[in-house]
Amino acid sequence: MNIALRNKKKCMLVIDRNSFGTKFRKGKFLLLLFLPCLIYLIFFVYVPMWGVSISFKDYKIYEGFLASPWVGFKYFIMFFQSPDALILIRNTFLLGFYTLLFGFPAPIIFALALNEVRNRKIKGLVQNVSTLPYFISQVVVMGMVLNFLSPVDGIINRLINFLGGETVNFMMISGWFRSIYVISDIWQNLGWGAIIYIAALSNVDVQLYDAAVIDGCNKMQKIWHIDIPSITPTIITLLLINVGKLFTGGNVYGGGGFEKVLLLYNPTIYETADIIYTYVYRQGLSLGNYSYSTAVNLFQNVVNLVLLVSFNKLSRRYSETSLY
Amino acid sequence: MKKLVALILAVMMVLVLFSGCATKSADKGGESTAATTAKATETTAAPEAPKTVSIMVGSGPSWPFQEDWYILKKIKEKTGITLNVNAVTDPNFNDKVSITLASGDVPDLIYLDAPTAQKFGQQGALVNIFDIEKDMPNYLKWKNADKNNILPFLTSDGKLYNFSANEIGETNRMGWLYRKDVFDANKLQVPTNDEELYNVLKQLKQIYPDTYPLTFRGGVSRIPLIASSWGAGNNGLSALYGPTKPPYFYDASSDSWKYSPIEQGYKNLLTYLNKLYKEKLIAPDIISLDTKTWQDRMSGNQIFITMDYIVRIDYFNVPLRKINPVFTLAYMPPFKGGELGSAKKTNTASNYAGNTITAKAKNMQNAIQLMDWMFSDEGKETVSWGAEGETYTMVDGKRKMTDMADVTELRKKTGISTLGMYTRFDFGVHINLFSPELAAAANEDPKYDQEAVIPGVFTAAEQEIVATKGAAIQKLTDEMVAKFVVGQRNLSEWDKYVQEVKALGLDDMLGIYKASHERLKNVK
Repeated sequence: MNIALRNKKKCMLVIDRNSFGTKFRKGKFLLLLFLPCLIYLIFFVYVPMWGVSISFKDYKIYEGFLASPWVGFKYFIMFFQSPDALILIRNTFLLGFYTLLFGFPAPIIFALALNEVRNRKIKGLVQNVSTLPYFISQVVVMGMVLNFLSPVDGIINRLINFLGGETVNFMMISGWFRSIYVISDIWQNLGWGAIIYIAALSNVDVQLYDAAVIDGCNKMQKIWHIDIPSITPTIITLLLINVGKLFTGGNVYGGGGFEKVLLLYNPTIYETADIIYTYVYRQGLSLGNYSYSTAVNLFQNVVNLVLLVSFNKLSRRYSETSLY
Repeated sequence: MKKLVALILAVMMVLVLFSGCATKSADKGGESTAATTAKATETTAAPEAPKTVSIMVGSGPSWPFQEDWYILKKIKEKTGITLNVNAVTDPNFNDKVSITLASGDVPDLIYLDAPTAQKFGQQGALVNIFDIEKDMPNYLKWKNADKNNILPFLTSDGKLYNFSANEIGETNRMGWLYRKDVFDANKLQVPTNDEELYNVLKQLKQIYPDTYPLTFRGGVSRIPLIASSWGAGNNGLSALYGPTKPPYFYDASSDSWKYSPIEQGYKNLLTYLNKLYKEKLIAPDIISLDTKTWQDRMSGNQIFITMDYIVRIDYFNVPLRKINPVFTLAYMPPFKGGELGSAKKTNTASNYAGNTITAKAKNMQNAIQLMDWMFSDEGKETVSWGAEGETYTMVDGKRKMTDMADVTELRKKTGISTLGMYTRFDFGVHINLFSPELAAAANEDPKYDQEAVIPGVFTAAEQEIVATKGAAIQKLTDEMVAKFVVGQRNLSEWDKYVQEVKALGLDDMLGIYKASHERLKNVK
């Protein structure tokens, strides 16, 4: 492994010594393959990015974002002066943090466990069933969650009553919101998130297991010494990507996010459930304050960018794996 | 060299692939505009050539737009104008409008709610109706008949962008509805005050222990409307307009603006609701109840009193009578709430929207002609009733709609009373299609209307206060009202809550309501 790594580094050095022209000539077909992506990125990602300029402008839709007058940091100051700002920041951060803390390792554990299942049919079945919730529309899944938790005829409260407990009005108690969010998120994304780890695990050399058995390893030791080290780069890469979304409020493995909060919350639990995105939604779409909501959103994305860059740096220093 | 040529060719192919898509879509757009402009120029050359007007409207799922709607044929027959309808099914209609306006390729007419129209109008996207009214004799006649026709639609600088379509607002009437069959079967009386209501609910709960007899959807947004019978101001506008019209109200006795959720009457109501909540007379999930669940419980005989649109009477009665022939949801007059209350309630019969003409309209003259026709008596008659022998027949001197079960079917089949297809409107056509219970409700509800005082439209600076202080106040109120109802906050903390609301800048909010109201008063 180390030798391979060293070779790789050597290769890179060799290429680095070449002039730009040589590099270009050598990689021209690869670059050609990349061209459609570049065009896509330019038109659909980089050009629209100029739209964030409206957060520094008094945006008037008919004049367009170029002609609208500049107002500087007015909307940012407005946000930080609003009494909601601190609560929103806290809620967004905590929701993202808990989702990452519990939601991120769940598919890893699931993939490791599934890897130990030897019966192919059962393995396939379990994987399919666990992946299914990801493909159901967010609106439907959240409707199901609300139904399950209903204090009137929800299945969970029926179970609690059956076991002799008191009915819990889950969606009215702010203390429950984050747990409900995180648990439902794990349920939704468990199978989908595990796919990439399962793929990584299937690439592990069988000889390593055989050698481990000869050395007298049990199952747990095999997982600890073979499985986990071989998927560590995958874990770190995905962790970094997800840290970059920490401050969006509960968003790992491409699931969750603000629609979920919007579908779940109600005024009684604003205290924990109101996050920056829902605030932006109410300001931008319900009240039509485009500049203000863009400014709030931009602030959120800057925080995310800082998180991503700094964690990437840390990771490069301590683990050899990084996004760039 | 060969390789270089190959490379260039490959790059070009990729580019052509991309630009290919682009030109195609551009061509499509160009075709339609070219067609409309061509038609428009023809009009000026030869008057008998077909005139067109393009219109952008929202389209509901229960009455999807049809090219061959009767109303479109009828408008063409009467005015010679062909309407090109762009029916947007996207629920985020206003976003679509933003994009369309920004693109520059705009329709002639757009059906917009008033706040949106005022916003776009002030940015120059829409025509100020005062600038074109001189060419609109029918409109002028209607406008001069009653100043109140246009007042709610005026902007802070005295401009007007919406052609008011207020009359169809009758369909937005909201009130108390109760299960008459269940009341009759148990010999219960319709309550006239909160005490009586409480006793009725108690009895219902005793007879049907698994039910929550009084339950409504919409959570805290419905409470201001109920509060209007509790002496907490005429503030139900918020129930109708959502977050853009929070429960601020004008108190004539003190000539000042007030915020309903800190009034004593509001506190009385919350105390009452909290009592009902504790005794399980209203559903434990009242704050988070969605429409679907509410509907299920309504049809599953789990709710006996609710607060909703009165047109919902037929929505439930008609299908449910197929299963349960005695099922009768009927209108319940508002009851006197607490010591301060009265048996009156907010009048929600308004429709704060209407057609607008865009500043860049390609068929401006046609659009003006069409809108003016809609304000004529003939226009009102046609867009409401259609024509005798076509949509209705005369039976014993009364009109009877042909082949039409209800209003939804009327909309679906003919396009009558769908968005944008009316301005003045005879609500009689809807009543004509109502069941006897609903028709009675539609006639009775106006008796309990409180007079509404409408604030003016805010200036940009005032709008900013609404966006920050107003939004913070609204959020705190929603949260605390919910907590008071479900008992997570004790009502003994009421004074503290009032202070919290005031600390968020309530005086500033009341100030801008007063200012906007003053501006409106000064309109000649």
